[in-house]
Amino acid sequence: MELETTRDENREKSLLRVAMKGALNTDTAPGFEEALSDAVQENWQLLVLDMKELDYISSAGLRVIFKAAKQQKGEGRSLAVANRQPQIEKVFEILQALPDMAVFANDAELDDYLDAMQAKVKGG
Amino acid sequence: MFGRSFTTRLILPVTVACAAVIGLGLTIDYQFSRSRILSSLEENARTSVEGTVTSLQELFTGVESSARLLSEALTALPEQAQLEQLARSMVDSNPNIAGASIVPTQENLANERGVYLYRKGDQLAVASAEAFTIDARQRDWVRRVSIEGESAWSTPRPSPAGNVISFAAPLRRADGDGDAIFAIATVDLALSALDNILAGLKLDRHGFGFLVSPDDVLVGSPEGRMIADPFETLFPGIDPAELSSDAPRLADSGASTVCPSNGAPCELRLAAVGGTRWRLGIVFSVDEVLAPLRDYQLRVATVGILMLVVLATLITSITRRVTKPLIGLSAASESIARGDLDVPLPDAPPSDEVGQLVDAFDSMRRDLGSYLKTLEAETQRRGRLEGELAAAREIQMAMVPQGGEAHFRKDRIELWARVRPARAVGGDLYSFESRDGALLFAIGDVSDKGVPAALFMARAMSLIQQWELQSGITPPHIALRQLNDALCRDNDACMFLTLTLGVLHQNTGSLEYASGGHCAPILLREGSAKSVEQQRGPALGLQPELDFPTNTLQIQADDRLFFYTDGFDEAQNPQEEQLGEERLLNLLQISDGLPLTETGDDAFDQVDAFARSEPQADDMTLLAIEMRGQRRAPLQKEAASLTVNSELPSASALWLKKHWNSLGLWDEGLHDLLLVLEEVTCNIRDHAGLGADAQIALSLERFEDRVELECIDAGVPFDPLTGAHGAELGATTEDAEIGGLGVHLITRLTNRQFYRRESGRNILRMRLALPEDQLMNLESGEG
Repeated sequence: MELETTRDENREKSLLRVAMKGALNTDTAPGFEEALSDAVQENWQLLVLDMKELDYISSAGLRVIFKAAKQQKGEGRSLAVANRQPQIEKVFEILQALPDMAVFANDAELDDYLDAMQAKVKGG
Repeated sequence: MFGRSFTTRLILPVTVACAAVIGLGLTIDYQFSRSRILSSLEENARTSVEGTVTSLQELFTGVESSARLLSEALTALPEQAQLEQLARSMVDSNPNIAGASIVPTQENLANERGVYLYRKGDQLAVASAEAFTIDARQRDWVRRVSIEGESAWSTPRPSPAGNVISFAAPLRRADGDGDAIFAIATVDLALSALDNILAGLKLDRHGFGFLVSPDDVLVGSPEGRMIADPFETLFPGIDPAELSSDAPRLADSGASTVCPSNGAPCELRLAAVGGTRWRLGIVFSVDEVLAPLRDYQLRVATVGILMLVVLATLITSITRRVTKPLIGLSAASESIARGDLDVPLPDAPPSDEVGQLVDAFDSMRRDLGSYLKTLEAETQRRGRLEGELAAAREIQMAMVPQGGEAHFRKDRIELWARVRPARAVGGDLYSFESRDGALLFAIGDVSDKGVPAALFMARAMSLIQQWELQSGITPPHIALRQLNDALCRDNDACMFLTLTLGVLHQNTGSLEYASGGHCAPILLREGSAKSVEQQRGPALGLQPELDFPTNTLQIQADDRLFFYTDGFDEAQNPQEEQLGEERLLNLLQISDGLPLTETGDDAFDQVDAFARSEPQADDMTLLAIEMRGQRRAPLQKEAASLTVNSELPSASALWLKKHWNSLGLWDEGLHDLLLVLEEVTCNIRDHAGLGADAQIALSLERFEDRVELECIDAGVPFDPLTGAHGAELGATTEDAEIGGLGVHLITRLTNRQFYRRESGRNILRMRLALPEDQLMNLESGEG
């Protein structure tokens, strides 16, 4: 199975949403790693991996996400995942993947988070 | 090696030390000799110079005094005949005087006479006075004398008697207005006479002596050439006044210059000729003067080198002679190390240390020889014994069915057994026979181990086989009683045997068994193992006419029954812990899913893993019986071979999806197994080191209660369950490792994993239990 990614840029909020569709496995991981590496270098404050249509993720795929999360965090920015399907969530749980990473169950949670962030910035 | 380096180590330092001593001696001697040679050269030069100065002094003084004598004696020009007489007596008075003249001054020319006499061979010749007088008067130096009234020396000049220098003195007479010079007397001094004297001054080959006139004109005629040049022309830049010295020494301050005769660098010295204004000059080359010293240096060096060569040769030959036996001994020891004990030893004088060493070596060699002979005999004896024991082991193994490891199947009954003695031979036994719809079997353990146990085991085996083969089936407890009575006969050594006999009726699955002191079997039923309670009689061979209780057990489909000897549960690890019943139950339970043969293998492997380096202390025997049912047999099986290339993970995933769906299995299971399969195939693709055309074998089996995925590859031995690096889980973003997640997916997404290496292949089997609802589906499906 292939992996398709769609970018949704929100410059106002410095948010890049990458929607993933298909399977992130040993075959698709190298391409995704490249795409994600580019995204990391664009200095988005928040990078959200939208997994609504991601059906499969293997350890090779998680490796890529780990790497990107490390890079983002190293620059003082964040990487979050959203809308995980149950089987994807299961893999994250089994591997106890990045307990400190923000996870949004749905778009509403993400919006709340962004609002809160913005309020915090304004308040500060 | 030893000899060469030892000899070299001896020769080198001794030679160097000798060279140092010789060098030191020669240097000291040279220093003394050098100063002696130098002072002797100096002395020679001084003597030579002083002698020359004295001779010159005499010569010049003689000439000057002759002329002055004349000037004092004459106050007027005498008659011509008398003049000649005077001149003649002057010439005669000194053999070095080449000629003499008395020349009237200009004013007296008209009325007065003159004379010039010179040596021509042995005779004296008189020159034409008039012509000579005019000629003489025109000479500068004569004119100067007549004008200044002071006597003076001429520069060298040719004369009828050869090259000369002349001294002129004025002749005066009292006059009205004071002294008047009326004539000049000249005396010619042959340059050859000067040269004879100067020749004695030759200090070296190119140097020469010369005279410097009071006018600083250099005078001499070396090799017949007349020199009469101003000093400055020949030695530009040197002021002769600064060089003069009353007592000339070679070391005195002189000047360095270039030798006019050959252009070589040389030294210049001047010395005053006492009583005259003449100076003696010497040109010499320090190098040439010091040639005798250099000759001496060369001689010393040659002698030194010669001495060193002779000494080195002597030292080498002496050292070689001394170390020759040692080198021989070293070579001999190498030969002996290779096993040649008869190698000849070097000759050495028996009295010295080397001789003693050779003697000691010889005696060591003899001792070694006799020791080796003993060892050889001992080795042969042991080899024979081992050969006999190996034969005995073969014979013993031939006594038990299928030579020590048996696998038997008939209808629903499957049996696997193995005996493994702790030594070459042992006292454990198993046996079985299938006849008349029943499986008769025995497992036993003779007290002690090794050869005595093996012999008693052989006796027991023959009796057991009699039971197995006699017509009709004698119940086990009865058979035990008969066996006990038979073994008790002539058993003075009091050997004994624990033994279990059993009869399994294949159709009904009912098992009848009796134990003579033997441990109870383990029953593995529905995935759980437990020890069966049994009635047990005494061990066999000690007391005759005893009764044995009987036990019965109903065997169900899929049951496994394990009989074993105490070598199993009493196996020890290096910490002296015993395996124990609990671990034994556990390990049999773990391998429940494996085929019976593999379970048996696994049991032995697990015990070995537990014992680690601890050697097997007791004989070990395991006999396993399975009543085959549905549980362990796959209901469906799919298998495929896939090529190992970059597409292996995706091709495997396709294969799994296709068959998973055709087997009608649940979706979540597929997702988990796809993840696991991706990890496994990626591992093989990237790390197994397989060639381009290599294949892996995949199989998917569906059992009643589970699904099993097996993957076989012929790559490098690799157990992904223990060999792969697993990242620590639950780390935060900063600490998380990138990679190392795969093994966690394999172990957490499947219920059990089995790895084994067999015939050069990695075999990985992973079990996924069917969820409850799937079991229901199956039942309803079958229903």
